[in-house]
Amino acid sequence: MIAIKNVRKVFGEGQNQLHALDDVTLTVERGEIFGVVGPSGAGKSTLIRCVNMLEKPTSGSIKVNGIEMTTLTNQELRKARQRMGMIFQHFNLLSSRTVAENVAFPLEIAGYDKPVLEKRVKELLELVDLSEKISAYPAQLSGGQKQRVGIARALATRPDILLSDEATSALDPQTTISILNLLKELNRTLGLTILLITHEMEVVRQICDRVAVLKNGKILELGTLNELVAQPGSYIAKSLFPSEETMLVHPGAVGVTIYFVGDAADQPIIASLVRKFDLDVNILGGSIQNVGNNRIGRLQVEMIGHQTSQALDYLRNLGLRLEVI
Amino acid sequence: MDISIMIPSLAQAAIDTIYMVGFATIFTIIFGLPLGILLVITDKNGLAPLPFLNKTIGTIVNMARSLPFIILLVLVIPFTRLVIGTTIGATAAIVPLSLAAIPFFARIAETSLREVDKGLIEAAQAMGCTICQIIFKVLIPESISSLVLGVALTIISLIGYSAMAGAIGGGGLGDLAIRYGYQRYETEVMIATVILLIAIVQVIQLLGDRMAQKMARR
Repeated sequence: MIAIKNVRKVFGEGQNQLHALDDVTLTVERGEIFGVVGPSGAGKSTLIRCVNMLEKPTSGSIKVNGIEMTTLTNQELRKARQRMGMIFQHFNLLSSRTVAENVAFPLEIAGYDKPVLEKRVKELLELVDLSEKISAYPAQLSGGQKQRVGIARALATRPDILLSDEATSALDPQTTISILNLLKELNRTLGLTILLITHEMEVVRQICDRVAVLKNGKILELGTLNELVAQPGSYIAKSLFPSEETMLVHPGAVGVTIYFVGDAADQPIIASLVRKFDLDVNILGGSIQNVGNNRIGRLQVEMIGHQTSQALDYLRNLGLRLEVI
Repeated sequence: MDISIMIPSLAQAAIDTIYMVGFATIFTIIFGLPLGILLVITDKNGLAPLPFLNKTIGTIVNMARSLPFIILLVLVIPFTRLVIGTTIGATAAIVPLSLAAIPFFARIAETSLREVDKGLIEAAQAMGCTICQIIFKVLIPESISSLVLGVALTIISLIGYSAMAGAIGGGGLGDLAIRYGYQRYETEVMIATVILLIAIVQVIQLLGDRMAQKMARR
């Protein structure tokens, strides 16, 4: 649906050159929620702006629905942009227009007739659950409400792609969750493909199907959330399970960090170890998180006994990833 | 001056001032606002970067603004004759007044338009707006209250300039104050015109503030 290939973006010239994007390649499939995470200054904003050509890539190819974006004429580009919605960190609503007029804006641009337009605006405000604010001005709304208007506006012309530029970064945690739920629901009910960039792991954890980690303009990791979490030492794993303290393992014991994904998280592994291999198992630390529809956990244990190597093989055979200290 | 003469003279002078300033304001907005818009969009980071045009307009605007009004008044006499047919009278004064206020207002409009959040322009671009649509549906509506205050400021400056229009027989309150109050030591005329001028300026500022406040939806 969105195919980004070997995209580079260079700002400035000569000594002051900055490679905001350095050979980025990724594909967003139809109907998925794809997240790009990374620290600020990683090039995330530049990347999402390249998709609708708010920034022109220095080189490389960007195809949206099979259309090469980098070579479009201005007029073709405007048409192509009308088929993509975009939401922003600071909402970017027109302060001089009411909620209804803001949502109507892209419809005016696309040349809708007034009766059709009014009907569509009502529909959209129902969709984002904001019908009672139809004639309010943005200044009278809370952050979450403003973002709902932003979403309604982005979806007005029935695009099949939504670009989300740090859409929840200016919101409090609770509002963030309600906006994420709305996005997830829109993804499911409308089959909306969402490409989002964020620096909040919470967003990734809540709604992303696949993730790319961007740092210094390069993609470091790319895959489904489960794959990346299960990769010991990955940026995603480290970010979702922070405060990795050094384990103090007793002499003679074997320390191991076990990563669980999906079904494995529901198995009574510790009990099995104790029973099958006659080990003393001592839990040193751990956490379990819900990621998307999965439970993902990390457990740090030390094992004391004669059959520790068999125990480790057993765990590996269960499909768990291990890090032995 | 006798009161029975002073009142009609004051009234006539006030009408002349309003006539000169009113028309000059209209021409100033008609020409100054597009200039301000051009200055914003042709900027190197603007919607349609045209650095050469931007520099050229900027330089002309600066040159026009650095001329003292009294000099400009004389300099444009041939142009005034070309446009109006005469160089004397209130109608003729509209030409130099407009020429002085257009670059002034262009800069004010430029500043107002630049204050529009870049994010709004980006959002409009992401929706597929043309440059024209961005100007008329985003830039102007979003800066309208600031533009209105700019117009009030321009009108008040024009009233100040119009005092000098007496030099070419334009009439008006300023002219009356100079001729009677200053040159003939008729202090009461001076006081009356000054009070009238203060009142007019106050009313314009008040109207400007009110309108701007009503238009701001923040």
